[in-house]
Amino acid sequence: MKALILTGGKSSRMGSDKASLKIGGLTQLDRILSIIQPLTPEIYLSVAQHDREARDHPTLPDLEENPGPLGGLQAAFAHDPDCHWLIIACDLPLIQQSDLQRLLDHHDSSKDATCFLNPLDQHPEPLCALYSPSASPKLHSLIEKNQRCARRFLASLQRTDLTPSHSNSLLNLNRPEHLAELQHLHQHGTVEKEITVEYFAKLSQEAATDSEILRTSAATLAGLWEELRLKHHFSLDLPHIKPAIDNEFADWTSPLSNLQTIAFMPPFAGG
Amino acid sequence: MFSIQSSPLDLSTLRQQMADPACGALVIFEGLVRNHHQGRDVEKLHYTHHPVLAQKEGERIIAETLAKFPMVQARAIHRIGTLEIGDCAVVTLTSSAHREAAFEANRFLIDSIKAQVPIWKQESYTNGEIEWTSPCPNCGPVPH
Repeated sequence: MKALILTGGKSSRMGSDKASLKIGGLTQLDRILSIIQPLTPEIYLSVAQHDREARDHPTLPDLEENPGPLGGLQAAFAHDPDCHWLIIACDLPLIQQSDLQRLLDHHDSSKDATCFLNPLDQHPEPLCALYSPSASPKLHSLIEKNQRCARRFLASLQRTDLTPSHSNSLLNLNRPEHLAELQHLHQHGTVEKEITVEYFAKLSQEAATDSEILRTSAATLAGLWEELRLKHHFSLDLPHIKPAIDNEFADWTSPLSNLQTIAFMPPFAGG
Repeated sequence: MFSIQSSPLDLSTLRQQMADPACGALVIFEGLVRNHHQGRDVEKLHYTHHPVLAQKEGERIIAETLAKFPMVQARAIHRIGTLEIGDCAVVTLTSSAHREAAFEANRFLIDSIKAQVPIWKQESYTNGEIEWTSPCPNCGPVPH
């Protein structure tokens, strides 16, 4: 088994290179390296096609320009089509070594892939998964058809689906507000709380309720929103929503406490 | 003063409440339910709000208006519930010694209410469809 870390490019929503973002003094890349190193000595970094920057680990450049999220796996199978590849994005700050160990332990080499179902929306997660050589020709034929959706690719494979250790293990680092969530989790650990959430207007329609009481281990408003956005498939995302805590408008980075009432409000339309 | 009510607005009473012998100008803006929105035929509107935050935010905006325009009196009322075409959904009243300050304050007041008070409207169209309205550029507030 070999591992490929997707170092990503510039993130438009984060406004910076995710691999070098630090939480608890460690960059995302260094953290992922530290949990993979005990599992395999053969670690590669996925980089852009013309990236010639010197790194501490061997690199696998994309085979073309901007190939999308499947470009890393494509380059990996081109490098060694007969090997099982552990593919992991470097923007999964809560993934644990024990999660990756479970991918290895449950891997059935007669199937194409072993992966996690994201507990927040029950979708198989393609960028933290172990792919068998049998996935290689399937990827090849997909790319020939110019289809590049990683989730759809994984959904089409013969899989072993696992549940990760925590509900937020697969949380992505997609927005600056999520960095605050992750820093908070790093500093204070995961604390479960009971929260009342109120939805207004379009959100109450999409959630099919005005309010709900739930248990969450989210640390900040942004973390809770991400959890609920996936749960209810909201059509709006964080920049368009105004949150409030106990009837006061609040910042997305505000920490949550037990028994708070949180309101999520879509753009106002009075008058 | 800011208030939210489900019953129809009584403009003549509101007008009397603004009476002040020192004021030579009273500006009243009425926001009315119109029969079209972004090219679609509207039959009626249903307004909802966040009860605590809408009241709090409305009062804050009135205080902000009075602070910004010290010689002005200001008051605003927003309706919630189901409104028919032609109904008055919101009214802002500003009075001052002279018209310039009253006009400016009124504009500030209604623009702030539309942008900052957590009130939403659901539009029922004549073809039977129902949708939560997203504010269009002509309707004012930039989505937050």
